[in-house]
Amino acid sequence: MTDFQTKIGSLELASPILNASGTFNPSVFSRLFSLKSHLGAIVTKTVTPNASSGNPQQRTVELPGIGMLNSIGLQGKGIIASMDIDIPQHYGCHDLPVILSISADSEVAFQRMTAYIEAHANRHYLQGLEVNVSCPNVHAGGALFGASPQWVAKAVHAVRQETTLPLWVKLTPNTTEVVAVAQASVDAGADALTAINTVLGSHIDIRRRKPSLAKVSGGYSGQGIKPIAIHHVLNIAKALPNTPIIGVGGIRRAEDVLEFLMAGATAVQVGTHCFSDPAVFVDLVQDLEAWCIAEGVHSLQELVGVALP
Amino acid sequence: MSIPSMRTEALLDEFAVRVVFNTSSPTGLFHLRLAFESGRFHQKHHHVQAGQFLMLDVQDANGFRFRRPYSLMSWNAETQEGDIIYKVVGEGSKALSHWQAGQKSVALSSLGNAFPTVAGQNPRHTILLAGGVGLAPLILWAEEGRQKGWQDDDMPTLVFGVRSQAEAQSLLPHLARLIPLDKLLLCSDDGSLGFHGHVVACLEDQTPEELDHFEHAFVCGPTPMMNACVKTAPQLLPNANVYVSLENHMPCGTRACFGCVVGQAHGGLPLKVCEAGPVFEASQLLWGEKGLDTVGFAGACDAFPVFDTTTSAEGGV
Ligand SMILES: Cc1cc2nc3c(=O)[nH]c(=O)nc-3n(C[C@H](O)[C@H](O)[C@H](O)COP(=O)(O)OP(=O)(O)OC[C@H]3O[C@@H](n4cnc5c(N)ncnc54)[C@H](O)[C@@H]3O)c2cc1C
Ligand SMILES: Cc1cc2nc3c(=O)[nH]c(=O)nc-3n(C[C@H](O)[C@H](O)[C@H](O)COP(=O)(O)O)c2cc1C
Ligand code: FES
Repeated sequence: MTDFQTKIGSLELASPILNASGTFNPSVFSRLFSLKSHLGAIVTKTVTPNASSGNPQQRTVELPGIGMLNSIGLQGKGIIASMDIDIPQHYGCHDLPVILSISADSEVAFQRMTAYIEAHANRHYLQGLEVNVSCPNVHAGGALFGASPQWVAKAVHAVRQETTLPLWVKLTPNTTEVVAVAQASVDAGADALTAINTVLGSHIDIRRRKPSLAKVSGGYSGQGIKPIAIHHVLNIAKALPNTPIIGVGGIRRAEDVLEFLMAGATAVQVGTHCFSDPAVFVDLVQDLEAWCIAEGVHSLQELVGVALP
Repeated sequence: MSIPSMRTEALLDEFAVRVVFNTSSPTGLFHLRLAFESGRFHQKHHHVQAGQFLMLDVQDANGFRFRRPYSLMSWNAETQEGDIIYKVVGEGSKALSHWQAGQKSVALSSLGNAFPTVAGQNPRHTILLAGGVGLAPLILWAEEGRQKGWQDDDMPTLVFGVRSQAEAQSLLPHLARLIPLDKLLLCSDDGSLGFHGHVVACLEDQTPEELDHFEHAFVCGPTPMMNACVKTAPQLLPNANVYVSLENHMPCGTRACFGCVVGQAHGGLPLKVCEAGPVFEASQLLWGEKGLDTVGFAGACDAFPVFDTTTSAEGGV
């Protein structure tokens, strides 16, 4: 038996394999297989302070062979109704730690939302926050929080001062300053970094002679972004050797998980591939186990960062 | 009177499926028969109810594709074989059209809700309005009724609209086995089969006495056809409660992505078709000029508690 245990700061997980925010409904998947036996924790869809209807249709485009684009726009009920209904009913009932993904459009909103979570969280399952900073900052003309070290520092600080929960910051690749943003996040109190969120992209429907997405541009995800994600994981791991990294982007197979671990990630998240293969978590666990046995690897953590130059 | 649509959620699995045959008609309708082999996780038999759908893996050597949602037109629980009729409209259905007998794939099934059973009411007061491949879930509902012992007298009326006779030709024997001829209204855009015109025109051609007794209308077809049915139902089918089965694009089918949503008529957040549907009471949905309104979801958030994010944190939450 290979040891899958992993530690992300103070949080101990039975497996380094997690789902990515917004791509996984635990209520459906748990009817297929035991989540507890195949995932280390469950990450929620990003919750915003208030209800949001998301973007107009068309919200997704399939990119055959490489992945997809989405401009869903964080549809949800807002923090109050989510904490009351969705989180306990869909996420908190699988005997697994739940990481609550949050987003907001101003520092104050981040702060107040975190204070609300701190006051209302069921600590039995809610064991961490993942701060999604791929969202427009109303005080910066709508530019992404995660695009600038200064803005991200303010957002992370606002969250950190209100909670003792483990804090992960989910980085956007849509900036030239990924490592500086990573550093600023850690300086402001992040315990771990999730890399990466979707890559900006667009698609034209040549039949209609128009952009396919109603919002014109969206987030590119799936197998095509894996090299981009690996690149960022390597750079962050090199710059911040003591900060745990959760690698995400284009994972489909055990080989992809191994790549992320070797690049310096202590855990990984699987997103888009859940759509084309709902059983992906079962296969990942089996195939990783088989690979480790064949290679004489006793613990997955032996592999973390071995490829770092 | 409204009857809640049915849910049989617990019976979900990833099924190995094998192609029994996959034939095309000259007009481009395909007929695929799949044998459902064991489920991967529970190894139980496959179950389906009319209206529910499966997510079929149509991936080819080129890698990533979303699965594609399809309804079964016919289901034989004994042989565990189900039939799909489909149109080639894009890359996924094109890949499907190349499938050969014996080929294997997987399908996540069964998902979504089902058409209501008309418990306590006679199905003869239900009218089925089908456009093209939208026939599938409706005719499965009739087939289920036959299996429950519905006699000719009990059967619903079916209005089936196609582009031309060739499109419907291969389906006619199956329809005739299920629906008595006096309850089968065929219509075609080019007049080559039955009534010359679309489904709504065919309804307009009936007398009010023939239509007034219908208590339920189940509609499935292309969006413009469903839109026309929903808009004219108050006049043409004044006593019918109208249900539609939607065929939206579904990236995941598993309620994760929010890619399949439709707006609600009376406020509230957009609904995931794969979760709340695919069968809806038509009055629940936001119908625009050309069909389901997918442009804006005004007022969608009004039903939720407001979280004040403007005042300073000292004020408390
Ligand atoms: C519950 C359910 C049951 C169904 N049952 C049947 C059935 O029995 N028979 C049948 O033939 N079909 C059925 N469908 C429809 C079927 O799923 C689609 O025809 C199929 O997925 C098309 O795949 P494709 O790759 O061939 O076409 P695609 O290339 O995916 O799309 C075809 C068309 O849709 C447009 N489009 C692509 N992506 C989007 C998007 N995200 N949003 C909006 N428009 C988009 C494209 O521009 C193109 O015009 C059903 C759908 C649902 C939801
Ligand atoms: C449909 C969809 C919805 C997503 N929603 C969220 C979200 O709510 N919050 C978030 O942080 N990331 C969201 N993501 C991004 C993923 O969590 C992930 O970072 C990204 O898709 C890259 O991983 P992948 O290639 O494995 O999908 C979403 C992605 C997709 C495809
Ligand atoms: S298809 Fe993804 S939520 Fe419905």
